[in-house]
Parts: sequence; C-alpha cells; structure tokens
Amino acid sequence: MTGKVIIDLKQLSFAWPGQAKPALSIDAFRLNAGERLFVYGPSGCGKSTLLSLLAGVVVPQQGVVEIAGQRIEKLSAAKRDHFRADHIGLVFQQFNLLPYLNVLDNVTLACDFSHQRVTNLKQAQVSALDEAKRLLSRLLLPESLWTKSVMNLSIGQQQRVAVARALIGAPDLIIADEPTSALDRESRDQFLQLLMAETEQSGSSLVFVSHDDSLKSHFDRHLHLPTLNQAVSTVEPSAVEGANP
Amino acid sequence: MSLNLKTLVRLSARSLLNRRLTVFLSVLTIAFSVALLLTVERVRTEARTSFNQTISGTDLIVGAPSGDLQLLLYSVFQLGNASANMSWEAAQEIAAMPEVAWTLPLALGDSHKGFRVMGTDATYFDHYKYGRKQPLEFASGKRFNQLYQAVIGAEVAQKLGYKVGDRMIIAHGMGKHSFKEHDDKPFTLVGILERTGTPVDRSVLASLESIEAIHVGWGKPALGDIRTRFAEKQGKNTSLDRAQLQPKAITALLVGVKKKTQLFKVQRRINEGGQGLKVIGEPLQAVMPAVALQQLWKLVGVAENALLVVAGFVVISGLVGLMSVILTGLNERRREIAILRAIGARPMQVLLLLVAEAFILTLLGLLIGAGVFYLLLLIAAPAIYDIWGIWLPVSGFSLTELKLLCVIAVAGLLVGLWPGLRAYRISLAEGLSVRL
Repeated sequence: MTGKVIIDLKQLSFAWPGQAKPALSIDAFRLNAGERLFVYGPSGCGKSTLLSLLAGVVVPQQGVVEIAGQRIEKLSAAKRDHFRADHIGLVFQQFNLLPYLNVLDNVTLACDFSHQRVTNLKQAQVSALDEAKRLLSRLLLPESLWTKSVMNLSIGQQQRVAVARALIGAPDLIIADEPTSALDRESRDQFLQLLMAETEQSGSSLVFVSHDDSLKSHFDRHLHLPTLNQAVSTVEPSAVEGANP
Repeated sequence: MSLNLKTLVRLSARSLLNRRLTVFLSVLTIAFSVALLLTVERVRTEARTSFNQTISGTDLIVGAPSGDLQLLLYSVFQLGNASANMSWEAAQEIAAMPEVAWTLPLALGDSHKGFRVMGTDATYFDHYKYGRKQPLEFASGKRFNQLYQAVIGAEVAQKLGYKVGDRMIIAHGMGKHSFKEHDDKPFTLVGILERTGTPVDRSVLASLESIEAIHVGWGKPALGDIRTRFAEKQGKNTSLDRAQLQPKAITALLVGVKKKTQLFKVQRRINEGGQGLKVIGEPLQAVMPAVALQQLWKLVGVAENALLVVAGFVVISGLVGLMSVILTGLNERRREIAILRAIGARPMQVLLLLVAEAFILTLLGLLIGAGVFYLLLLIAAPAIYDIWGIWLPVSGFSLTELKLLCVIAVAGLLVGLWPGLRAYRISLAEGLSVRL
C-alpha cells in the first residue's frame, strides 16, 4: 500500500458562500496510504472546512482535491456523495448513530450506501453482518449490546460503534472530527488505541482532527493547520474565534 | 444508485417505528377521514343502485296527480303517502287500452306491525321485476289465490319470525301499534319471498279483494255500500265473495306496454286527462320510473356532492396534519440527516426518505381506514337497512373507491415532498456539520 497517495491537495482555495475571504488556502499537501495524520489548531483555523473538502461535501473554488487517485472537485455532487460512501469513513464528535437502528444495523448501514464496501467484503469473503460483529468485538463492545438500541450505549461505546461503521468494508480514508472530545480520559485512551489498531488492520489512512495537541504523540504525522493554511496564517487565532462555519 | 428502495423503505419504517407515538395520531386522523370518504361514497352509490334496481320492467306508474317523484316514491319505494287515490274504473280503462300489455293495481294504506301491506293482483309475481329484470322468487310457500291470504317479504319474515301457515292481523294505517286492527279477519301466510334488496322485502302482499274485505265496515264508503256489505257479512258470516269486493279505488297502477315505441303515446293519453278514455274528468298522472329517478338524482345530487366535498376536505386536513407532523419532526432530525449524508446519502436520497415516510404513513392510514370502513359497514348496514331500506353489501372496492384511494396515496407522496425538499435544503446547507 505504501507509495499510493491518499490525499493530494494542490493550490487549494475555498471560501464559504457569501464570504469574500477564503476560509482555507493550501499550497500543497499530501498524505500517503496507511499514514495517520493528526490535524490540530485552534477553533477557526479551518479544520471543519478542510474536513468538508476532504469529504467532498464542498468543492474548492480553485485547486485540486485528489482522494485515492480521484479528483473529487471535478465530480458532480451526487458522484461525490457516492465517492464518500465508498472511500471515506467519518466519525464525528458525538451522536454518530441513528437512534432508531440497533448497534449492528448502524454498522452495516455503511454497506447499504456503498457497493464498493460490499465488494471489498465479498473479496475478503465475509458478510457485512459478520464483519460488523468482528469489528465490534475487536472494538471491545460487549456482544450483549449488539442488538440493543444505540440509546442504551455510553458515549464511549457509541463512538466505538461509529468507528466500526467507518471501518467496515475497509475504505481508503477515515476522517475523525474531534471523536474523543466528549470522552473522559480513560475512555479516550482506550478509544485512541482501538482506533489506531483497527485502521492499521484495515489498511486505511487516518485523518484525526482535534484542538487538543496532547494527543499528538499517538500519530506518525502532525499537521498544525494554521501553519499550512495561508488564509488564516496572518490572522491572530483569537480574532477569528467562533467564526468557524 | 447504491441505495435501493428496500433499504430506503426499511430505514423510514424503522425511523417511524421509533416515533410511533407521535405519528400514530396522524395516521389515525387519515384513517378516519378515509373511512368517512369511503362511507359517503359507498352509501351514495349503493343508495342509487338500490333505488335504480327496485323497479325494472315497469314502463309507467299511474296515480293521482301529485308530482312525478312523489308518485314514484309512495307507490314503489313506500316513502311518503298518497295524497289521493285513483278510481278502479280508470285503472280498468287503462288496462283495456290496446297498447297496454299488463297492469298491476297497488292499494296501500294498511300495515302489519310496522310493515306496509300492499293490495295487488296475483299477477304481481309475474310482472313485478327488480334489478336486471329479475322476477320475485318464493323462499317458501306460494302466491295468494284466495281471500285473507298473504305473502310476505324476506325482511318481514326474518324480523317477525313468521313461517308459512302462520296467522296475522292487518291494521289500518301505519305504525307498529295501530288502534284499528282488523282482528276479526286474520290473514293466513301462504308464501315468503326471497330477499331482493328492494322495499318488497319489507312488504306484506295480499289480493286487492282481501284488502277490500277487511275494510268492510271501516273507513267512509257510501252509506248504502256499508249497509249492503254489512248485511251481506252478517247473512253469510264472513264469507264475502269476490264480485262484491271489487275495490272502489286504488293507490297507483303499474303499467307495462306491448311495444316500447308506444310508451310515450300511452303516457300522453293518460296525462292529458284520459283523452279517449271513458272516465273523463278524473285527472291522472303517468310517469316513467327512470325519468322520475333521474329527477331524484338531480335533487339529491347537490347534497351528495356537498357530502363528498366535505369528506374530501377532511381527508385533505388529515394529510396536512401529517405534513405538519413530519415538518415539525424535521428540526429534531437534522443530526439524522447529517449522519446519513456522512455515510454517503445524497440529498436526493434524504428527500426520498421523507417522501417514503409520508407515503408509508398514508398507506397505513388507507389500510386502517379501509378496516374501519368495513367494520362500520358490518355494524351499520343492518341499521341503515332498517331505516332507509338501503342494503350496503360488504363487498370489495368499486372502481371509483379504488380511484379515490389511489388519489389519496398519490397525495401522500406529494405530502412528503415538502418536508423532503426542506430536508434536501438542510442537507445541502449544513453538509456534515452536526449541530447540537
């Protein structure tokens, strides 16, 4: 897998609709397959914007966003959604799960939206359900909870279910947006360990966003976004606090 | 593309199940409105069918002038009372017209335990046709052929539990407890008719002579008439013979013509005051049943349509209620939308999810509504039959009813479109940003 470029950003510039000033401006950035990147920086440095661009929810006004060899800024909105389903697993800060589905259904839901993930699983000769079970047990989620409503789970457990969903079918890229900020110290460390181990196992690359740079040590690459982002590098971080879209 | 319809329906069904308490009431509203609409439509069409099928094969109804509709209603449907009678001579004149194939005299005014008694000829069973020119059939017994014999309709037999051979007392006037019971002249039940779904089911039929016989000494015939009849009666002790019991007047006359082309000619002659008839000076009226019914439909059509429109509006308000429930829920479901988008759902799929939701709820409403409708039919049909004589069959949906149901289903899809479009916009505007 080494040598394959998973993220390739070139001359990127993006401004949110109705705003003259770009929120993100990156000259060049690359992430190789299997790399685990820690993105940090204060609020307003463009973290959410970067994630939206990587996930293909928005496209830059200028420049290139290439994910796993695909220039997603050239794709239609529907194709980008399709691409996201196939190649990117997302984990949010909190509330990642659909309250009306049980734990297993929440995990396999990712396969309902993606042929690619189903194909990947077929090549590995496992069913979506078996893979979901395998991931959940690897993520130390008690089997007794699998068929329970996700409402019965602690936040730490919910976050691990979200990781299982992001990982099922081994997508190229896992994006985690402050996934530990709602967890206490103990569950945070456990969560990070499991996340690392499982992304490595599936061969996915990881982009982990946080404002807490104490987590840095877990990752092999670090990105201080305010340094890379030319759009905010000249501005005092405190001046744009809370202006993050 | 990647998300098939099954998943979509499964997702929205699970989502709905999770919010079952909030959506249940809106489903119920739709269900009741659907049941109301179906009931109005069913009663409307069945009333028409029932009326239209009550009389067939009869070309003209003749009676004292009162209005086409009134004549039809009191003579055939047993609704209302005759304002005047027609003379027996006039009836015989009409029967003797060369164009006339047959006539059936009808004498109304008596009752048995709330059921109308109708005096007529034994040929009634040959000429009276209902539905698609079906003749009357006997469930048991036979037609009357003597004095003081009666044939009853299926409903009378069922309600009163009568069998052939039972004795019954005829009363003058309507009402279950008539003061003037002709209890000195009990009738013998000789026949019970099969159910027809027409007012015949609720009739007691006897010969004109029998009816005339029980009125000897009653009412106000000419004084001399009473005296002779009374003397006759006393002398022979209740054995009156047919010739002396010729009726003086009848309520109406059903007429069948030999050729349909002569129908208008016969009708005109009767309407023009008996031109060419010997009985001059007796004004008569002849109506064609179909034409009079047409008048009836014109009259009740307005009310029918008003009822349908009201029922339609109730359905619309049910659907609007459903839309508001889904719209209200949307705010709390922004997170759900963001999650689906993160997994790769397109805004269009989010829209479809909400449309599917509205559609599922509408279908559920239709299903429950249909159930309520049939339940209502089962419970209310006997009561409606008792009161109006309209039998509401528990049968499958008619084409019109199916069309109505389909229109509501499509409306359910449209109802989901607005919340769907909102969700579409939310998913575009908010992307993956999950707001608490």
